[in-house]
Amino acid sequence: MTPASRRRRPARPGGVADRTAGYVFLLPWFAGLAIFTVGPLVYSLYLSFTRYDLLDAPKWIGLANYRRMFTSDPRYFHAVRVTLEYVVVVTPVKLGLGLAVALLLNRRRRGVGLYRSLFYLPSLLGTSVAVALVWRSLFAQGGAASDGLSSLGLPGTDFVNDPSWSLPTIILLSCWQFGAPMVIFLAGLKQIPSELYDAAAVDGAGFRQRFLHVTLPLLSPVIFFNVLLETINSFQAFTPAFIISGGTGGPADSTLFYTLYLYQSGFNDFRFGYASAMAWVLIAAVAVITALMFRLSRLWVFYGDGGNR
Amino acid sequence: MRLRHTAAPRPAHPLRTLAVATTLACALPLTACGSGSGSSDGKVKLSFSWWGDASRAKATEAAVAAFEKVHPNIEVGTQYATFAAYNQKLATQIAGGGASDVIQIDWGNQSQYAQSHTLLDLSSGPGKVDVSGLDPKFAASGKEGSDQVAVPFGQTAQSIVVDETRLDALGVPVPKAGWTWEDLQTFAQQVHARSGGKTAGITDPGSTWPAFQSWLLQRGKPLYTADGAFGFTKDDLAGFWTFCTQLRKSGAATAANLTETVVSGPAEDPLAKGAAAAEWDYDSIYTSHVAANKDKLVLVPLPTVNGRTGMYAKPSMLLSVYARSKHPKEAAELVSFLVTDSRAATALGSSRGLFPDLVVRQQQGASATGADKVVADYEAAADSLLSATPSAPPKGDAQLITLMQRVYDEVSFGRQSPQDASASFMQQAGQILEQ
Repeated sequence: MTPASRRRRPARPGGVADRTAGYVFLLPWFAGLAIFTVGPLVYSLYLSFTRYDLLDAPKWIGLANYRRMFTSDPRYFHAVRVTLEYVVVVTPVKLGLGLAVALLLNRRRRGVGLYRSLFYLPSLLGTSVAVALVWRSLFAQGGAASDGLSSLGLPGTDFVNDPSWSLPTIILLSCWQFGAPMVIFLAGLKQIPSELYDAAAVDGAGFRQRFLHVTLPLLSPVIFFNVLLETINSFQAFTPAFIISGGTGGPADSTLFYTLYLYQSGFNDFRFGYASAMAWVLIAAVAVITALMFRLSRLWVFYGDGGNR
Repeated sequence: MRLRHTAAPRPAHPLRTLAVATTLACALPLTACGSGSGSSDGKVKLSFSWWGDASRAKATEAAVAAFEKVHPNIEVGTQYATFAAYNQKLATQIAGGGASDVIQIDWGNQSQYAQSHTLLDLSSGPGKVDVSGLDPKFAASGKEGSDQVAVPFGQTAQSIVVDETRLDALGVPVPKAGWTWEDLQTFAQQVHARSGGKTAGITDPGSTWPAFQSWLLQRGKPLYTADGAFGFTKDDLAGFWTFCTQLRKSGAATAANLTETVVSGPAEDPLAKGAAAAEWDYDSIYTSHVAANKDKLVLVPLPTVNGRTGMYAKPSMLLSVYARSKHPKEAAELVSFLVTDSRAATALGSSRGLFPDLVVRQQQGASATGADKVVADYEAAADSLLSATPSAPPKGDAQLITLMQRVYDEVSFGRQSPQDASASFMQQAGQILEQ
């Protein structure tokens, strides 16, 4: 950021009346925040120390929920494992695809706008129930995927209802939705000054060198942003697993995502205290991971202003 | 570079997950259809919710319309969902104080709701429902202590739904009452062999909790003891699963991935897909099976052990009035109509099993046609085969249904032996029942 742009922001001269009016206009938003976000948040923190089945009043049980989670619930650890598997595969594959396609589309070519829209489309449909339903019927027995494979002479499986294939099926669905990071990558690519490429070309840099020494460093803030966003999103994945497994996390718990187990604990088993505790552990875990990523970002993210944060 | 602006992540995102759990819990009752209150046109507005599929919805709407015709001053709004979704929603609505006036409840949930004072006592007071037309023992299944917290909305019995068209095509005879589990094995094996492996004889019953209950009753053991503990041991469950595994491995019962689809309801299960020729189910689901299947389906009693079928007259579902309803009198009138009036019986058919009121049930049975007749005839023939109805299942029973499916997955996908899986089931079920 240049000093000039900082100077452009003048100190606000407005008086108390202005400020009051501002807060008055913000009131509805504050009310919403308090009632729908902060209130439930605080309440769920309280619930996480209770046993609560929705019907009877919550009963304080201290840390028992947390203890149970870490000492005597094998399903909990199973859910953590499934979620980690998902995050570790989906995040890099999705971002890799997004970046590759963004590079392809970052050229002046006839119809490139159309391609961009087409690649972005799946992300627009992204979290919708309808796509998950379609996916399920595509990959279930008698669906296009298994029938297609068998017509090619390959063994077609019931991907959705086979525990060794159900998670990969959901991973595939998520990777297909690489459009959102792609669009952000594209925006980032457009920001890279073309003089740098010209200069590099004059120095005799080939495509690979230009990519490694110009594109990647200048794009690193965007990459960092996307990595962060996708990681957090992946930890929260819920809809595809819920729809494709019919809410069970099955077959044989193979798609029991953390959030799905959280939901089941609450709404199937009526253990809302336990579910709240799970939610808070997830928040804490994501916060730690985010902090870690920020720490690590110092090593590889290059901000063009030469700042060394 | 100005990218830093975009690169700054918004820390609000991790909070979103939490919002799913918490806001849902808090916001649902606000938006959910609350108890109706008087409206401007002087009509009393009642709400009524149940679970079921489209075919049952059609029948229920017709019954409600008949009620509104008799009671022009009452308007009934209805809502329905599938079983699992319905139960989730109902619990949330009750927690928020906004359940429908008339609610359909499952026998497995009755104790839980009654103990938290959610259900109005229908034996006296403004919400009195006259149940004298019902078999007293059967009506008592809706009792919690001395309170009539629910009225059975249909009587059902366990059965094997059999695809007669397919059996005819394969030249396999339809099994007869009194058959044994060995007969079932032979039958299922035959279907598998004659169809060239395309059709299993039966949908694997290993994931079906009530199928196991009948298996136990045939052997003289209850599922639950009177004080709500298990009436069976780990070995009993392992025995059931060993038998199912034997069926499955020989191709006589459906493969694991097909059995998975049973949770989705009759329209998507192996019977409808032609992947199985028979399936364990309650006869109150028969009309839904018929709606989902082009073939001719018949009902056959369960295989026996020493002549015992382990079948019993079960309330397929029950009707309750919400304790916080603003119109208990009108709600009770609706309940009363739905369980005793012949016009309700005509509309409902056998969509919930046999009609509760005995006199009406007899008239209905005599004039029934189509699927309704099949169910009526089956129940009439099965009457002598029934065991005594056990008492209402304890709190937690509904969760054991899903636990059974989940743990049996481990067996059917070959990840655990029946012995190990049943040990794991007992351990997890113990935690649920203690709760």
